[in-house]
Amino acid sequence: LTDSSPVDLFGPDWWDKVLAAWNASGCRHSLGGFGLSSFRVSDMDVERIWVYWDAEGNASRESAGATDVPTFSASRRDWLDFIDGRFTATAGVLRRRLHLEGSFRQVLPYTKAFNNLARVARPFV
Amino acid sequence: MTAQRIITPDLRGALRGNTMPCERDRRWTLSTEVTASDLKALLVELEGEEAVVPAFAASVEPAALPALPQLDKPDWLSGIPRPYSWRDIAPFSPSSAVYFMDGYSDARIRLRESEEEILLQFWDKNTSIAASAPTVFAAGQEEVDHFTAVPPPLQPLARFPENTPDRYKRTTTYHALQVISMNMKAKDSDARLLIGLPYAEKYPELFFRTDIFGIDRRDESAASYGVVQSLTEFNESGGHKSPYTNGFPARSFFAIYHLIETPIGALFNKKATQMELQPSTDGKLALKLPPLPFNYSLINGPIPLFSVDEPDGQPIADLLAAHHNDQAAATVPTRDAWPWHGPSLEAIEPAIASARRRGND
Repeated sequence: LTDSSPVDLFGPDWWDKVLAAWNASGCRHSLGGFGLSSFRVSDMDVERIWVYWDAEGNASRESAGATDVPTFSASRRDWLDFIDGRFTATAGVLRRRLHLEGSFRQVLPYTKAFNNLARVARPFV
Repeated sequence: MTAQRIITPDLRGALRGNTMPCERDRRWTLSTEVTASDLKALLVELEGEEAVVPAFAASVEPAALPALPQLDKPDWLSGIPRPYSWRDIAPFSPSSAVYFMDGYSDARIRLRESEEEILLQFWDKNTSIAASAPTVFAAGQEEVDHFTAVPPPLQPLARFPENTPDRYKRTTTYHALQVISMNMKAKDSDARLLIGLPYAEKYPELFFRTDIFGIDRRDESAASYGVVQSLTEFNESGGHKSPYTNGFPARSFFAIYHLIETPIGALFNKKATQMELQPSTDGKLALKLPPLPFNYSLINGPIPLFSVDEPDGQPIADLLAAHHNDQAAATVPTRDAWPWHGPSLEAIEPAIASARRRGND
């Protein structure tokens, strides 16, 4: 797989590209210590993705993880709108365009960081 | 409009040249010293509104109205500040009552950790507010309870809200108010704004926490009180004031305890959110109750907001701005609202008892 290889949107390879860009970005520290979380696309046949953020904010994709971790899910359209910056993570959860399973209190300190993640992912959609 | 109705006791005293409203009596009679043409001239002078004159003049028998010695505008009428006129002066309702309105609220909230600001908007068709009979404020009146017709588990008493601004501590008439039920919903999310009964019904273990809501106020719950207070300070003859001596125009404010449910968590306040009535488009405050259409705005923000999940923790957000606007009286409250719907006291009594025990520990 190379940077120019076509990948399935929101699939494991797509996430690997996004996370590599995240780790190279200057804003990776904003997710430092967040730990394990997962992501789902509610209306696409793609697997659930687990991502681990270490203390420095470096992200790595896990093959599988616990189910009781903060999990974000949305439709394909809403994920694309979020990545496009049409709404923030907080507004998305408020308006039910992003669905969070788990405690928002745990996510609260990182809501702006997820907006950064959307910005990093933007070139890959 | 008849002559008997337009010649108010205030105007009669004014026409006789009295300079203070305390000189007036309370009989609704025509002065025998006034002619219709004199009255017409005076009304035009006072109001500058030709429109009110024909209807009045047509209803008066000229022969019954002898001449008026002089038509100088009385000082107290001249002293009514713009934009008010003598027609805005009226007594409050003489008894306690419950009012129903269709409402809109918005709240601008800043999340502390992310410093993000969010705007929430809510609507309902069944805000209900109870008002006491009118009473005259005097020293120590803040400590007095007044009957307000509210259902349990709320207490049928209301008092001056805590931390009432000093401008409300004047020797004149006021109604004590209590919010019975406000159950407002957002249109674009599952967010809700709960005050009074729906707050007590869904979060009784919080609503009745005396150790939270009874520390800075003489209360045992998150009941929300308010006041409507006359802007005038007239005296009766002899210098005393009865509850009916003063009334409209009036100012008003509430000290609100609210629960804001959002998909990012449920938030509540410990410091009362003070909402004060703002002037309407003609620059006037309340001329009737409820003062529809009206706009109350937050006057003491920011208000720290706490998570229901950690009520004894640190605040996680602040209420920066808030408005409550009602445009119309509610004709029929929705079925999920009081008085169609009320809390099951049996169901929430254990939680109330638990909350009170916790407050006493």
